[in-house]
Amino acid sequence: MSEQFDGLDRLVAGDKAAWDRFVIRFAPVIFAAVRRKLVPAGRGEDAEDVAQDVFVRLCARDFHVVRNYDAGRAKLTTWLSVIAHSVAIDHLRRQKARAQPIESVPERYLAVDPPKDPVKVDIPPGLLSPRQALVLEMLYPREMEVAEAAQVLGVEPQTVRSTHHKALVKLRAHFREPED
Amino acid sequence: MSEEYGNGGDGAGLWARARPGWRSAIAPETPNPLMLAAYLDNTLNEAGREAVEAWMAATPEALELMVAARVQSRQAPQEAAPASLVSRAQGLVRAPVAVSAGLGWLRGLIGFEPEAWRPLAWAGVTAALLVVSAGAFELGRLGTERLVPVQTAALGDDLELGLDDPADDLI
Repeated sequence: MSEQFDGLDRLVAGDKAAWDRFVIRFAPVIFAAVRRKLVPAGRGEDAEDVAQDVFVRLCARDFHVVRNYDAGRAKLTTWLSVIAHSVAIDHLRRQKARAQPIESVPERYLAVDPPKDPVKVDIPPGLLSPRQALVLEMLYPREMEVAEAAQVLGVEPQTVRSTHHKALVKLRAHFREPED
Repeated sequence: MSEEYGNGGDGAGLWARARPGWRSAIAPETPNPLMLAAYLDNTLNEAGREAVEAWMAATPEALELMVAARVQSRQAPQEAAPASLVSRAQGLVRAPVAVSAGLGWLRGLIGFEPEAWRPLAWAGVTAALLVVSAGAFELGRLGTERLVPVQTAALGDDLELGLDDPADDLI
């Protein structure tokens, strides 16, 4: 793992120089992750503040978050990228909630339709594995390409195709539909 | 739009029917960031992978996060971070107050940094001020007590001298 940082022990011990090196080294990773989420949402101008929020979280409570990092389990850049994306998504969610005060919404838009009886089909536990459900979720509601889904899962596209096929076989059998 | 698996096919309909039931049948816990990073780096065990994939399938924001993180994990950042971000972030951690070399002997004597004595030193100063104030008050009170009798005695002596001074007998 060549992307590792050899000063984490000193950093969590409060070594200012180690923290400074950490910031210089990983600010581009964090900033890029934050921008990747914020720019498409039209909030690119918030990127610097949100990236700063990531650093605040990293050093909060005496580096509590950094202390939980385990170099044997994941690369530091991947871990920081996950945290940065998570903070950016939280930021967008908060902005969305604040965007329109409820007083400004015309009353007709707030009217709630009476709930319809939900059509819920019970699925036996274990009928679909989490991976099969995830593949179906990515290919249908998300409309992702097989190659994209394979990239997310970290597998070959053929694995996605076979997972998809097995999932449909199970669902057809469950709903008593004839199989192709 | 997926070219091979468009929403017009029966797969889309089947999943639309099964999805609410599948989602209600599971209650995935939110994995911690290290577990998610391990998933992206393909170092997670099978049970861990299942837990992460269940969470991604059941939570729209989770899938969004993992798709973005996966894409970024394969690309090095193309641009530098703004200098203002770097300096602000570096400012989050302050340098420790330097202890002068001359205090090295004190550190050896007390076994830890002299800086740790700072609260104790302030407490000592406060206590000393209280003692000095109390002492000054007490001295002042005693002084007043002594002064008043002396003055009284002086007045009395003057009177008594007129009455009992043996010298008067000699006159």
